[in-house]
Amino acid sequence: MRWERLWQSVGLAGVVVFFVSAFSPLPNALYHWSASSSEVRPADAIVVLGSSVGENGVLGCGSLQRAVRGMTLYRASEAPLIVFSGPNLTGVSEAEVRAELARALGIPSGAILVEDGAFTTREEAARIGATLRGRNLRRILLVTDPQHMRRARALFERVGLQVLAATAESAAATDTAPEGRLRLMRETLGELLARAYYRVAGYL
Amino acid sequence: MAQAFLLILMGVTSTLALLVGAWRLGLPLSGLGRGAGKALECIGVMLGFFVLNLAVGIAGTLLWRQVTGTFLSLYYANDATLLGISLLQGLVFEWWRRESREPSGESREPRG
Repeated sequence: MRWERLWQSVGLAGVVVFFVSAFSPLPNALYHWSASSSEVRPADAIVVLGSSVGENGVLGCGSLQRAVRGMTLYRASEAPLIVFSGPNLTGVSEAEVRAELARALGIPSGAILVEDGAFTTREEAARIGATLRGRNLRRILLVTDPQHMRRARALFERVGLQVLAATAESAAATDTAPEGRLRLMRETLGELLARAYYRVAGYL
Repeated sequence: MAQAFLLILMGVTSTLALLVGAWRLGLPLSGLGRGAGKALECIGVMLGFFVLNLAVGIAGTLLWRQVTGTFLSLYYANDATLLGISLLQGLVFEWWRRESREPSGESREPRG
């Protein structure tokens, strides 16, 4: 009987969370609570963090949004250098695909740096931080999702860089369709879990 | 609009199922609460499997990284498919438990 009660309670909680997530603005509110806003000012470099790329060499939606945000900042002369990050997990380097796109859109090769050896945000901060410090570049415009920004910013500040947030917004934040809200909830909880892990591991 | 559509759809099909169950199949309404309770129990066990899958997935990934020194993404554990797998595991486990504890269930009664 205790077994039944216990799992009925868990099940009820699950059903309530499902309906609240799908049919109320809670996911949107959680998203805005956990997100960072932009503070764009001139910097030494624009750092575009990795996201995903398909085996066919097509950038994922988030990756493309970040890349476009980075290129827009470069075009607005906010920094003379743009660093594209993104690992080579499937035989295709995300950073190289982005760099190729940037060159095709008229950004000179000399203004582009590629970092495809980092697999996590922490590794991106360590590797890009070392590269930029070696060039005596300290102030960066960091481009990533609004939710990811808080964790990423803390990591880049820990490696000695001055970080200005340049968030790559997506339409998902304002999605009110149930499926979109469920996706938003999952992404928000995923990022909160990642922050908790980074804190426990001592990375933040 | 999508929200209202889905809620109305759920209301219509639930009402239809209630009518078919009560009138056509002659099911007693008193059993509806017990049925919902058992469904919640199944969902609860499924969520238990989901948390277990997530925890083992994350721990296994971190262990893999430590032992092999090669990268395995934690995002692999953040896949919606895990919910479907957990649902299947939860249903099988729950029905296994019930069948083992209730040998005089309907399916075991002699027919005819």
